[in-house]
Amino acid sequence: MGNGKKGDFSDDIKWGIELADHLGVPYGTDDYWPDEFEDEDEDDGPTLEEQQRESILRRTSALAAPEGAELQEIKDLEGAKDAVHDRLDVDPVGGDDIVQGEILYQRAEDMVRDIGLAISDRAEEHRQIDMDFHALDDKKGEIKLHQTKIAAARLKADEALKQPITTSHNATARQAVEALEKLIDACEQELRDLGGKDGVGQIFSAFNITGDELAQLDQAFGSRKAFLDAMKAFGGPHELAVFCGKFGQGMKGAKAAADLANALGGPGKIQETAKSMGGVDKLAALQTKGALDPSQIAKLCTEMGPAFIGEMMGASSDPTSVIDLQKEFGAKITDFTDLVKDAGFDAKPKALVALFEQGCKGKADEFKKLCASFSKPAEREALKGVIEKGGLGDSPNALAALFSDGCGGDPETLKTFALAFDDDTKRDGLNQLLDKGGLKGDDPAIAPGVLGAMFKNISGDKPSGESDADFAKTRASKLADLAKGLGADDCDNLKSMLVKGGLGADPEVFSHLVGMGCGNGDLGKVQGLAKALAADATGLERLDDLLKKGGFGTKDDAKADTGTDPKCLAHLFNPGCDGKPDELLKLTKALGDADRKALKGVMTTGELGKNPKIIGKMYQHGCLDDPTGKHDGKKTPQVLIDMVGEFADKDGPALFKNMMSGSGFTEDGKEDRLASVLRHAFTPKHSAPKKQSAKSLRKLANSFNGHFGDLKTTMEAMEAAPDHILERNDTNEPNQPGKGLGNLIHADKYKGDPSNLRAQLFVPLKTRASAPAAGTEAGWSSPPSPPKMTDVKDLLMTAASFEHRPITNATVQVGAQNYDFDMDHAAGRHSRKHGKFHLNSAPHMGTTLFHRDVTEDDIKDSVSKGIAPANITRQGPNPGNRTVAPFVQRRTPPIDQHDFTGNFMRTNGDDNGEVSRIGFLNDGGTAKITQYYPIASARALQHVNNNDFITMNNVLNTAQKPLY
Amino acid sequence: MADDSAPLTSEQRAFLTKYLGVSLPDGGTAAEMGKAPAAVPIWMEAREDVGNQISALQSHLKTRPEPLFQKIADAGLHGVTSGQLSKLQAALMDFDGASGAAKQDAAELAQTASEAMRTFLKDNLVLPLLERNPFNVTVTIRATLGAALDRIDRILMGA
Repeated sequence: MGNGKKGDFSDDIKWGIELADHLGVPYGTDDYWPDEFEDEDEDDGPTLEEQQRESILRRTSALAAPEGAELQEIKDLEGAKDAVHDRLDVDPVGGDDIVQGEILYQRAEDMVRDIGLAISDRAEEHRQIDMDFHALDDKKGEIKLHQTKIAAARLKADEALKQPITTSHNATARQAVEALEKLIDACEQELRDLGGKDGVGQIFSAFNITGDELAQLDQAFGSRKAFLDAMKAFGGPHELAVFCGKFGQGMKGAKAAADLANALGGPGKIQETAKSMGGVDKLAALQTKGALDPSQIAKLCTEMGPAFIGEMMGASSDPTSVIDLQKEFGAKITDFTDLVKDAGFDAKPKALVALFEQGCKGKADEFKKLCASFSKPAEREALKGVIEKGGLGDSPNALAALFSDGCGGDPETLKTFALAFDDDTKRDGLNQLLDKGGLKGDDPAIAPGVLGAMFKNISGDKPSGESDADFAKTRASKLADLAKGLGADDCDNLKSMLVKGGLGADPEVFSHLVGMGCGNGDLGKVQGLAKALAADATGLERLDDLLKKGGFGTKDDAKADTGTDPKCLAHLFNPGCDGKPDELLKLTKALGDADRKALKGVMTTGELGKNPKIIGKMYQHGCLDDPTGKHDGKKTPQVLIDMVGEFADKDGPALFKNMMSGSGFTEDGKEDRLASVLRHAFTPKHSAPKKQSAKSLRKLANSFNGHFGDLKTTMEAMEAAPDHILERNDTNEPNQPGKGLGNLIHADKYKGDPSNLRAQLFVPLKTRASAPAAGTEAGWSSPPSPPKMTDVKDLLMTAASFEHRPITNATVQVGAQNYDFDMDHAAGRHSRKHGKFHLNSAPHMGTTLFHRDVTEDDIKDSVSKGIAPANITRQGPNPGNRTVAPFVQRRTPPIDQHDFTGNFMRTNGDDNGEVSRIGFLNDGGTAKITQYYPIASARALQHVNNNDFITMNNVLNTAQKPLY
Repeated sequence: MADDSAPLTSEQRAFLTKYLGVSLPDGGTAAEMGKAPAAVPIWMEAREDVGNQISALQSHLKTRPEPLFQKIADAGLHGVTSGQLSKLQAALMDFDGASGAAKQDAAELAQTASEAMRTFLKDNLVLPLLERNPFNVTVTIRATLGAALDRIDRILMGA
């Protein structure tokens, strides 16, 4: 408080001076004292407090809101002023009232000041906003869409700025200007994002929309960013529009594509998926044709893979099968995904699809089983080996055929196959076989099933008693070893065989050829065959002809089924050609067009082609250049040509077929019959040339036509004959029925022509067998005459045992005495070598036939030894000669034939067990041995009823033999 | 001292709405809203206290008959602090209004302003003069603003 006197500074004044100095407030010394010090003598008036109140009220009344104040500010100020008045509206007014009034006044005054500041601030803010607004004047937008939007926003901001300057209006204006600025920025950014004016134009054009519809695109894609990302991923609006168009027209398509993109993980992902799938058409087809929603499509892609899906859909983009397949797997989809991932199919979708569509015939359940069967990682790893390293992944058709044909659709067998290729050398070999060997399945000249057929047939026929699983292992191991062993040149040669030799179109034929034809896939034999064939271009062409025109292929040159067994060529090669490639080539090249045509007739209509084993044996034996030589000797194709040529007429093939089936040529176990007949039956045994007269087969067929059962009976008789009657079959020696039949055909009566064999031989023998025994057929009592034969086979085999060999010497000298011995009779009647049938004049007496091996010499030796005990030499000047002087006299008892005066008969035996009855005949001179009847023999001695013997003579010889 | 967990008073909410343009949901506190507690209200409360103290002193000076005090009062005492107070207030408003990554940037700027304010409080010669005025008018500018700065700094550091 002041002390009331000038010059006396109170602490208050000191504090005030210090403060004024700091604040820079100008003051003078007169300011240290109140004015009353100068007017202290004036009259008392209003009290100080009243004066002060007046001052306060006056000043308060003078307070006014500056121009530009807002209503609320004015109200607040008025309220503050009212508060001053209210506070001072007291009587008497005291000092405290004045203090409080002054405080309230101060507040009001501050308020005026603050309002002024606020107005100034708002003006400044408005100016700034306006400046910011006009800074945007040249930003009008580049495209109509933007121009429209910006103009609207500009108008809004302009209007906001035109409003009275208030906090609220400023805020609104600021917001409007900021909105305008943001809009401009957004438009500019959008324009940049959309590729500038050109880019926008392209978008509108591509999607056939106007600017107003751009938002719809955003909506379709979920956002502008999503749309832009999509456009960026696709490389431009046109590309994106075309893509979207696959999913539907206009915005519908865009939305569908966008939804799917989102489900798949974005535009890049959908593009990648479409590409993997083989095109957007296929991806879109999942929706349009498959009626899958985006999530279902995404699930399908995740589970089955886009590439596999695309392949499954094929060129028609049909999703049905792949959708069905997914359903079939259901919760077991991991079986599929594991196989895809672990077996290398993820990069080989074509192979997997082929495995399903072709290998499993499109059967989802079968495919599911296949996938499930490879349950162990090691199994899938093995499969991966042949898929990747082995090249099967790049050979889808070959893989499919391998499974369906080679494995019979059995997953376990496929597993066995894969496991067999257990090292890289085998897998590399497989790859080479597919690639260089042409087995991939993409060469039009080579069917995709070649590899599968090789796997199936590489080891020939399954041995009896071996399980399918074990045989599969055998085959797989064999094929793996073969693949490993074949070199690049070998594969080239194989490909030549397949392409030029026509075998590529006939996988089964080829596979059997390299299978059983080559010793069950023997590496060396396969290499040799392929090398030889590949080196002979003409031979390969003829081989192709043999397949397509000769009936050795399963389809002919018109691609019609031949019905022939695919093993025919293999058997023709081995054993037919003894596995010698040059023999096969020789045969193929020997055949002319007519020959092939005839051969085809016999193979197809004649059904020889249904009997590959017969073919092999037939060619091996029947076409020997030397039919009396070894079975693996050189062949003469002409024999085959002659044979089939005889059946080339209209009825020939059917006749051949009837003969083959009716005569039992085609019976199991009788595969050698035709070979035996062709080799032996038509080959002269005792005259040159000893070549097969193959044309005679037709005559034989003609002879028995309509009665082939009789030919069968005939051949069965030969085959059933005991060894002493006919030579038995042996390994590689199919002697019967050929040799027996040959004996008949080359009998005197037929002279190699079997045209009348049935009528003139079989029928009489059959009649004889059927005739009842009567009269003298009771036989001779000592030794007992055998009863007549009642089985025509006995008659047939016996008749067939005569070889009709000429007798060397009609009369021979036997014993030391040199008796004349009628060998013509003895051998002609009792030896099968000759069969001269010196018939007995006494019909009650049968005859005996030696073992087939007994010769003239054997008989002579036997007789000579038998008469040795009577070997007494006649003494005299001319021993043994009664016609040359001096004559000797007959002696009694007779010592030798010179002493006989009549006929004489005795039993003659030797130390070897040969016992016969011999008869001496004295015809007025020297006695001769003219009778001979074997009674016993160390070897089998056949007793034959005389009438049987006569009958046999009649059917074999043209003339009745003289009776003895 | 304000309590962050306490609901804002209607006056505080009106203040925020009017001067800061901040609209809070009913019944919510800064903490409940999951945001950093607001710094501006703290500062405004302290500033108002100080303003009232200065106004009281200024009013008292007006009652004094000596022209010296009239001149001092007319010159205005609020100007001593208003510039510095506004600077900090602006920084705090930015801080309260920021979110996300910008929050941290705003906090750093506000801390700088806070430090400047502390320097001002420490170095300004007028403030202690006002506080020891001979009229027994209570003036606690440094204490009041210093306490508010302490609270504000804690908020800023927690941002």
